Amino acid sequence: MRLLFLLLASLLLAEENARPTARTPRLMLRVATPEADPPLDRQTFSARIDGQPARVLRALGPTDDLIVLLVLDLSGEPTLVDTARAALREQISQLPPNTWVGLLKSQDNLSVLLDPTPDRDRLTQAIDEYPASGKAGLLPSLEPVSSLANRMLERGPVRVAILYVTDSNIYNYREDYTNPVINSSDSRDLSRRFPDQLIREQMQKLSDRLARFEAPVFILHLNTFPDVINEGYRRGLLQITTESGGLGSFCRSRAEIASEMSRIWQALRSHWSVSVEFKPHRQRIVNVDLFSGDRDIPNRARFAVGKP
Amino acid sequence: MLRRGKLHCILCCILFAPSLLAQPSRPRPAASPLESAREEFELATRELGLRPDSKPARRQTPAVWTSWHGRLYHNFRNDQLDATPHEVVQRGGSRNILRRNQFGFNAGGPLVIPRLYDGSRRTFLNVSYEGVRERIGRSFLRTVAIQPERSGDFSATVDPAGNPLLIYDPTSTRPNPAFNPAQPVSRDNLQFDRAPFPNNRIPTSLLDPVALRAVGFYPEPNSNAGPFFRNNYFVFSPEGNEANGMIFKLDHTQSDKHRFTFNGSFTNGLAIAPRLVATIADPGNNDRRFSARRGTLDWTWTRNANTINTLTFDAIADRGLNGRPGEAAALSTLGLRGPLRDAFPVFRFSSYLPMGRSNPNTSNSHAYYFLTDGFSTRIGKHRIRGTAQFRHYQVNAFLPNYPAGQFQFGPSITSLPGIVNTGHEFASFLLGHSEFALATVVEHPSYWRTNHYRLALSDNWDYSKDLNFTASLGFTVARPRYEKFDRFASVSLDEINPANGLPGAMVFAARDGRGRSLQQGTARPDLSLGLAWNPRGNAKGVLRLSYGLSYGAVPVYTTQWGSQGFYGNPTFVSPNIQLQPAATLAAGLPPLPRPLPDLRPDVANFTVADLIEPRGIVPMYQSAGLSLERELKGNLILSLSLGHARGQRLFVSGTMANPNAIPLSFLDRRDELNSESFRRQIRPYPQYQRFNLFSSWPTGNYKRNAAVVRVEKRSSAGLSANMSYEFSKQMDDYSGPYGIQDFYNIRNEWSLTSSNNPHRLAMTLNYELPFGSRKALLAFQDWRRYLVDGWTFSSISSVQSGEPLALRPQFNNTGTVIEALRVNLVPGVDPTVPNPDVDRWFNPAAFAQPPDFTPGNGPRTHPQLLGPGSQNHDLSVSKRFAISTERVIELTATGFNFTNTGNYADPDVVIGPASAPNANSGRINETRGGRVIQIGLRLSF
Repeated sequence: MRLLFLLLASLLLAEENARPTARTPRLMLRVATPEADPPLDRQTFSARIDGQPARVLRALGPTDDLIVLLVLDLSGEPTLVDTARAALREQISQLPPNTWVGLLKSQDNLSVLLDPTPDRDRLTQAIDEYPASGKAGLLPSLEPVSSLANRMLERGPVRVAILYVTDSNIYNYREDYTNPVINSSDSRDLSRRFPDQLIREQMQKLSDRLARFEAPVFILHLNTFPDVINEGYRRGLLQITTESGGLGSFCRSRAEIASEMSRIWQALRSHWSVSVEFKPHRQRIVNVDLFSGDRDIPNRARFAVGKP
Repeated sequence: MLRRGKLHCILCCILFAPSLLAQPSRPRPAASPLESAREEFELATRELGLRPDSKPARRQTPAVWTSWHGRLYHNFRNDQLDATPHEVVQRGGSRNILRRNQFGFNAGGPLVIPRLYDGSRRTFLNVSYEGVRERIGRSFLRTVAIQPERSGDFSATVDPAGNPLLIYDPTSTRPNPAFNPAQPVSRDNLQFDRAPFPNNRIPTSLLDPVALRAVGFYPEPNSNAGPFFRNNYFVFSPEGNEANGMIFKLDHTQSDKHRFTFNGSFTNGLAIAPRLVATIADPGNNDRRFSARRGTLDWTWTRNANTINTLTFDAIADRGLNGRPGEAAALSTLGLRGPLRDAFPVFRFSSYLPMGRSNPNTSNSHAYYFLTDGFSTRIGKHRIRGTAQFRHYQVNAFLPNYPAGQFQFGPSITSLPGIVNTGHEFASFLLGHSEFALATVVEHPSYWRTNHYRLALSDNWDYSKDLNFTASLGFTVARPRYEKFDRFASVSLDEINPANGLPGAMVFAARDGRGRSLQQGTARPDLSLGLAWNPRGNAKGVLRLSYGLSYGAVPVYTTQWGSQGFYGNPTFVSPNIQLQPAATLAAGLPPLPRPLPDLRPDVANFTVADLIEPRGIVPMYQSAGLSLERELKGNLILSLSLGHARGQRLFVSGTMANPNAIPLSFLDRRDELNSESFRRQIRPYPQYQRFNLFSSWPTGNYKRNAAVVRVEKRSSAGLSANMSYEFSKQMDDYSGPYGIQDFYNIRNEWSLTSSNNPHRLAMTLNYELPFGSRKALLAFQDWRRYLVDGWTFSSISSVQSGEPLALRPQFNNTGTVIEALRVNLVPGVDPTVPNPDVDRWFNPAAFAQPPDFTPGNGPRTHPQLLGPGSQNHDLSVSKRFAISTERVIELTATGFNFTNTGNYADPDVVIGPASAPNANSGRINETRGGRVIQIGLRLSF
């Protein structure tokens, strides 16, 4: 107990880790928003930040350049992976020339399989050769991939979106998100009565960290695990995609993979990236509202901009 | 100006030089935004070490530590926070006993040992520890002898109807010269006459000295729950638990093709059982010291994108020591003699709290080793998987059940012979007259071993986009269990017993040309078929069909069952429980006739003999399911499923199966059945009292049908919820608290499973409140965000109907032919009542005590009468405090049964005779449960 207390105290008193927190002050926010019906017009965008009018600097829409960071996180059911590969090939074959796709894998460790490229053949070949095994890596990779996408967004007028195709089971992570029973003899352990508490907290923490990045995150999960902890995981992933301006989908059957893949790619390809001028202030979180003419657009609303 | 300019320049250099130096050299601007972004991608991924051509990152110790994450936590419970349990309040108590501290940590990250090993992108370690220190109150409501009875005064003793209960002096027994054997025994036609004790008091001179000493260890009444002196002993006693455990996980990626994982865990602990009695005669559970270890090593070889092979070695070991100190001199204190070992003997009564515990000093250990290889590959539209597995089981057991003897006392020896509702078990005890006695003499532990081999192949066939088939076929070969030192023994029903020339003699493994096992091995297939179909190509709806067939395996139980002859269990049966005791406490038990090991074929004669099913018959399970899942508007998912399952030849215990049972057709011999010598004549294997089957006799059957509706509300606006309702009906021919009435007519035992709750409703809810700096409401950015950010509510509720009631008669006068006598149904009387309540849950007038030597005609479990339903509602409230992006404190308050709902216990199901009806029948004596609060604190880093 004493040791635990000392450890707790040292952790509380220790300085924040080496993660860089001081960043170049933001000059703009790139706000992801889905295409609407009727389609949005780039000339009609207006914006408000925390209720105050803000200048729209640029609006990139469905026909503009797009880089997709396709992250594969597949380590489970091979049948679903095979179906997902076929669905990916189908979607990639339909991409316009100004959509480039970079391929990464996140299971075991995040690594690059293919740099962003318009070459569809190389891309599908890399996807086909990709081995689906190992430990799930979606959660620890979300932050570095989002950071990577942000750097790409900062380089120029291009839309960048992140798409995860995953079959990750929360029990297949190297990190412990499941709080497994350690003392099997402890029959009155009620701390695991709500077994999703740990994953919920971890997902909220991750969600807070991702709030400072701007690229929308799309997640297609090939499976729906019915247990409570995976349900908490599912809730968290959907929350992350929604808050980033992206979209999440969990397939309940193999047949759903193709249609959900199509829906996700459609949303991804058609999303808008609206750059809004931002004047730094002391707020931690800013609230952005986008309008197209008189229409209120359901855009990503909140960004972390201040010191965490 | 120049100096100021120089100074300015120098300051600029100092301030910006590091950042300039830190800026990576960027390539020249690219021709297009896409090219430019791609270059940034290359640059960034190289810096992050995500590419094959990335330079090894310079690692420093602090950087390594910051890449470790985990948590520290403490969960705390104390009775000051709780509601007093209902069962305690009802007995006049005012508080619970609860002290619980659960604490631990988890940490995980890349394994880096400075200057020795850098596994930052290859080797990952995760360590968890948890400790528990607990003391929690347990309550028990039992019946003990009332104060006068302890000294032999039964003048205040009453029967279940409240009428005075007479006890008779066994020394006064005389044959009744007027007895008419053609008529049943009754008060008007007694076979034996016997005089009641004067004033219903046993003279002091007749009291057994061992029993009198034992009474000194027996508790006195302290409660009056009733009716009539029953439920007169209430105990509220703490049980304790101390445990420490750790889990280690090491994951190493050697290359893209090879990955190794090691999982290890251990737990050690001490479970202290609650004391029902504060003396060495405590009949409660034993204290248990235990330890468990587990290690799993995986090697995953990814041959290519379509073929993966995994080799796994799994080792599991655990050890348990049961017992309590302080019983070393129990036998000498009591003055009990026999081939006994030091512990408090077990004195068992039919309705009073017993004395002493079974298995008072035992130890056991298990070690299981599994080696498994699995591969998966794709061939066309087929995904093929194969598994090969070898399993080795080791079980070491030192489990003497009754080393200090077990003595059973019933009312018969102090009754008017042949007349129920006379005599008293405690009076028989005070006289020292046991109707059954045995002892377990164990000199060696048993070392059981077996091996299993399994091969399985499965195919997942994508027939079309909307239709998928799965099929798997497995084959398991289970070698029969054997004893490491060839101490395997069992009765063989085919061998001739030299004592009487009848079938049934003890045989020994590895002797007389027998193999090392006395049971055949099994080779069984298992099969599963499945189909998933999206009707009309609609991906939002899926129909699933499944069928499964599998076989169980003969378990390697933790026991010394199956080594009789190497251990002894001398058994003593009363020649006639109404007339003569099996043993008296004053005389004790005689010594073993021969020293151990005693390997003669008749060694088990006149005992409860170990019998092992020799053919290796194992249970068969089949299941079929149909489910339809449909996604609806509003983030709702609806699932409907129907399931059918059945099991045949399930392993059951000796109360559910008895190959040596006397057929019920002999009940017409009525009082002759009280004679053990007569019973021996009509038993199938007369040389045995009965058989010890140790829950391994394959005769049980069950069938279950269930329908489930599940509605899931997917997360939206922070709210998610699930609701499921199940309606089920399960029937079987073995379950229940009392056993089987007629072992030769198992079909007549087919009734509702005693644990079947036909209606179950479960609901879960999770709601992240819409307050806080990143939410729609109260989006404070200042200090107030610490108050409003991160609130979450979760709840789990369950409501279920009760279980079928199993009614039983007060008296069982069948000459021990029927062990689980049922009640009779009274024609034309409705067993249900319009508004069941605690005073009248069912109508006891619908049932009757069967006449003597007659089986009951009621069902084993009643199809209409269910026990009280139960409900439970748990609520958890969490508040997160984000110290930084990496460190979060979460405070959780959880209320288990937060509504403080008391759930009724089952009603009294004992039906008395018309002459002495059970006044308590149909009544509920107790409600149980109470709110428990747990506070949890967790720091995540």
